[in-house]
Amino acid sequence: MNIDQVRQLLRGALTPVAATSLIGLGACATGSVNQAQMTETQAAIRGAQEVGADDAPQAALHLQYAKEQLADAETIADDDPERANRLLMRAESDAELAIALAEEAELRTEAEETRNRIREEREQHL
Amino acid sequence: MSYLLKTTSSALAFACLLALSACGTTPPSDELVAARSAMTNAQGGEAARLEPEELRQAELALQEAERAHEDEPGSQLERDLAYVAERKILTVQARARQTASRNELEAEREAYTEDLEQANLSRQQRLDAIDEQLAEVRGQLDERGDVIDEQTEALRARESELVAQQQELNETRQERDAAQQRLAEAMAALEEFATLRREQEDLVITLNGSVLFESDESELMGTAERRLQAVAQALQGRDQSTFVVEGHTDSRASDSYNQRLSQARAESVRNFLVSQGVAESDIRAVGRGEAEPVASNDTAEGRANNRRVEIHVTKTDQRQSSR
Repeated sequence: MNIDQVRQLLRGALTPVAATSLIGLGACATGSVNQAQMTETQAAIRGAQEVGADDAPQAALHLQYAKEQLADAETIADDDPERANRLLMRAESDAELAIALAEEAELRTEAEETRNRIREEREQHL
Repeated sequence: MSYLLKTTSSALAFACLLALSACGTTPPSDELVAARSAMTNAQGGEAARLEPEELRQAELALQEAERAHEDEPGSQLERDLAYVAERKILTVQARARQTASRNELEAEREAYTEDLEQANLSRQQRLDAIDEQLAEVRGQLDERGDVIDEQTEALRARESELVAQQQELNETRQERDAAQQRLAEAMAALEEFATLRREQEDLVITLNGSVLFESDESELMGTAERRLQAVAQALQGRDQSTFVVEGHTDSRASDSYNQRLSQARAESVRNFLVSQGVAESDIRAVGRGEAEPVASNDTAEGRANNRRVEIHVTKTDQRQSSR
C-alpha cells in the first residue's frame, strides 16, 4: 500500500467525517469562541499588568506573547473559533507565567531589601 | 477535539490507525520537546519538593499534549497543548523559586532573631556579672567603711585623751607656776631678814641668831616665829629637797656649852618648821657649836655674825626620792 492509495482511502473515508466535522464546527461557530475562556484570558492579562509584568523583562516578554495571541484569537474568532479558543488558552498560560515571573522579580527586590535590612540590624545590634 | 474524533465512525478510527502507523516516525513538535525538557527539569528540581500539587496539574497538561501527539503527531493541537503545558511547568517553577526564596529569607530572619536572642542573653549575662562585681565592691566598701568608722572612733577617743592630758598638763604647769610664784615671794620675804648663798648644789639660808633667840636661850622669841613661818613657806615651796638645820655659836663660852646650845637651838628651829608643815622625815637638826665661824670672834660684830642658824637645802635625786 503506497501513500497515494492511503490518501485515496482516507479521502473516501473522510468525506462523511468532513461533513460531520463541518457540522460540529458550524455548531461551535454559532457559539463562537468560548466566552468563559476569553474572560479568563483577559483577566489574566490584566492581572499580569497589575503586578508590574511590564517592568520585568522576562515577564514583559510573556505578557507580550499573551497579548499577541489574544489579538490573533480575536482576529480568527469567527473563522476558526476552535483554534481561537486554543490561542486563548495559550495566551492565558503566557499571562499566568508573566504573573509568576513578575511576582518573582518583585519578590527578588523585596528579598534584597529585607536582606539589607537584616544586615543593617545585625551591624547595629550584634 | 479528541472527543469529536472518538465519536466518528469506525472508518475514521481505522483511518486514524493507518495514519498513526504511517506517522510513527514523525518527531514530536518543538513545543512538545520544550515541554518535556521543562518537565524533566522541574521534576529534578525544587518544584517537585515545594509545589507538588501544581506540578501534578502541569503533568496532566503535558499528558494531554502527549495524547494529542499520539493521536496526531505534529498537529496544531499537540503544539498548542504542549505550549500551554510548558508555560504551566515554567509557572510552577517560578512559584517554586519564590517559595524557596521566601523560605530562605525566613531562615535568615530566624537566624538573625536567634543571634539577636543569643546576643541579648550574653549581654544580660555580662550585665549580671557586672552587677555581681558591683555588689562585691559595694560589700568591700562597706567593710572598709566599717574599719574606717572604727579607726575614726579610736582616733577621736585618742584625741580626747590627748586633750585631757594636755589639760592636765596645763593644770600641773599652772600649779607649778603658782608654786614657783609662791616660792619666789617667800624667798623675797626671806631676804629681808636672812641671807641666801649657794654652796655647790646646796642653798644655804643663814638666819642671824639675834633675830631668833635671846642671849643664851634656846627657846624661839615671839618675833622669830613670824619670820620662821616665811622660812617654812619657802622650804615647802621647794620640791624634792631635804633640809639640815645647823646651829652655830661664837667662841665666848666653852666648847661643850656651845655645842649643846647650838644643838638645842637647831632643834627648836627644826621643831617649829615641822609644826609649820615641813615633813619631819625631810629635816634634821645638827649642832655645830663654835667650830665653823664665818667671821672673827674678836669683834662684837664678828661674834654677832657667828651666832647664827643655817638651813642647808639639798635637792634630792628625783629618780630615787619619794616624799
